[in-house]
Amino acid sequence: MKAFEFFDDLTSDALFKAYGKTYEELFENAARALFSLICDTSKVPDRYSVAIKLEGENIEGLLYDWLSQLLAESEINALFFSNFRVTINEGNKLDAVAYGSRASPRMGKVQVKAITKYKFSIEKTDDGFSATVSCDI
Amino acid sequence: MLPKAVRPGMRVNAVILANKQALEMIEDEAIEQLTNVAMLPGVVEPVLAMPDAHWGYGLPMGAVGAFDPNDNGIISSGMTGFDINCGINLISSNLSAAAVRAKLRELVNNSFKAIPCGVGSKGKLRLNKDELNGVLKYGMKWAVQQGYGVQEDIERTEENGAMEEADPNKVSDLALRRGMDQLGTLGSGNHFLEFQEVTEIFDEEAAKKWGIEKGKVCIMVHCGSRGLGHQIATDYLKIHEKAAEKYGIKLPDKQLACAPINSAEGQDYFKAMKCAVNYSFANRLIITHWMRGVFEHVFDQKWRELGLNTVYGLAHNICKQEKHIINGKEREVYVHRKGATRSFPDLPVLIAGSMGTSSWLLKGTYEAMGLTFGSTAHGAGRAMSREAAIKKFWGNNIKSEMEKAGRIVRAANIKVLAEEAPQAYKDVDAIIETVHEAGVSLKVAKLVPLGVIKG
Repeated sequence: MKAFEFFDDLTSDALFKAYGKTYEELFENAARALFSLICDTSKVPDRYSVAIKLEGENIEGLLYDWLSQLLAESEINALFFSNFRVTINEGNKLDAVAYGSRASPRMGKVQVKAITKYKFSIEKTDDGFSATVSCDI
Repeated sequence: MLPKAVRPGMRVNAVILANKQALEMIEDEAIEQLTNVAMLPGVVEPVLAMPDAHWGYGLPMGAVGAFDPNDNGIISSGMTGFDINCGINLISSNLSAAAVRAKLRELVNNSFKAIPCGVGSKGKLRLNKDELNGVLKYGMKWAVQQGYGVQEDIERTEENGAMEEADPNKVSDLALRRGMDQLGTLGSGNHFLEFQEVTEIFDEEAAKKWGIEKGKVCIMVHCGSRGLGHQIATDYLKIHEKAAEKYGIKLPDKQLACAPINSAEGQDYFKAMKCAVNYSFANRLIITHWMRGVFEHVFDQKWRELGLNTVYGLAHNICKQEKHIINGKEREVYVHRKGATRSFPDLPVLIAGSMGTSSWLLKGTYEAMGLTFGSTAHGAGRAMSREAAIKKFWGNNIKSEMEKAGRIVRAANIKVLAEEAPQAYKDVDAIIETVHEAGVSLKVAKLVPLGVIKG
């Protein structure tokens, strides 16, 4: 199963689909896709970590909040993230850790301003779930 | 014009301000988005697309929508966009293009060091909560009090560099934390800092009044409210989604999330949005201040002697409470300009080109007051996706092509140069001809880049 892939759908921005056998894997892969836009994740070792706890209205809302929170935490802590561990309880409670290292323009690609609601969705697939996410750049 | 009869539910007509060439470049989806906006409560005729319009989130980029608070009108975080007060400052100089070319590499390199840019860059300022509150409430006035810029900079900026009644209490803790270390940073993507040569003058009187002379060099700063503004937009999109449901507003597209202007959710957003507007005005002034320092160092003269005066500073992503004459009567309306620039009579208008193409100084008009709620275009607008541009162009090739043309470019990441290749954008000159012919802003001067700093 692919972790994620990008589609040439938006003139000004970026749209990806992430995949996972479970919601946890889906959330981790969506975060990997997001940070593959922002930085060269192959050059970002796990030196620092940030714990994130969130409660969403439903699973889609939780994914939106998770990715938006990662953008905020990346800027506030001046970190690029490359690895993620996610646990989801009761369908809408997230307990996660994002791992990464100090942000630097040398590893940076482009700033993602926000996660948008354009085509934003989670769908059930034959072997798990897929999420469609578009990012304002 | 798209008459309201073209789609059930449209309350007003929509107007696309474009000649044949510009119209062909506007996607069908962007036109559909325009008709979505025409369905919202309290919308005032017409909803407008500028010639640089392209598909956006909810409202197209390059569009204007006005709403009447006395007719159940709405205010929309979605329609203002994520980069609140993304905008431009233009600074004149008395330096000739030849004098700047002689020191161009040093200027570009020193500017690149002086202005934090690119994703992952560190801001030079660390604000505490009181200082950040000062920025959010007082914008450029706070910056000048701290020694960044001067009173004339304030007087030559839209809203005098600060919207009144900004309330930091309406801004989330997460947004405040994002704002603490990013003041005085350029960001990335299409944001830039350029040294531009004035190559043509079209209105001698206006150019003279604003200190613009053919053959001289200007500095253009294009950036926004950074993570603080992005977070405020994200926070209020959620609040406005719920508000729309609460107040029974049928959204044709959930990205048009909104609240009645006369509601707590509407006014809270307006007060929070003003904080981001003020942050962005202060941000561009601080960058201007540091640029003056770079020029002082390179030319060994004081910035006043070099004539580094603000020509004007303005926003092109904003919602404003303005008075307009509608059907012969003055009405107060909330005008959303998303990728659109204010064009008020005889005031400067700044329109940015893409990297390597010209930018423009224009003059606002009375015609714009009658036709477009005092608005005009904001830039070139993308014609090709970032993904397609990266596949088609190499950053290093773009850089060497620009250097062959006598332009020096530095970017935090070379890949950004491929994404931002001039060929990936619409022809800004064609857009300028359209707004000039339509009379919604008139050409004053053409500005061609010599040096470019990209985030």
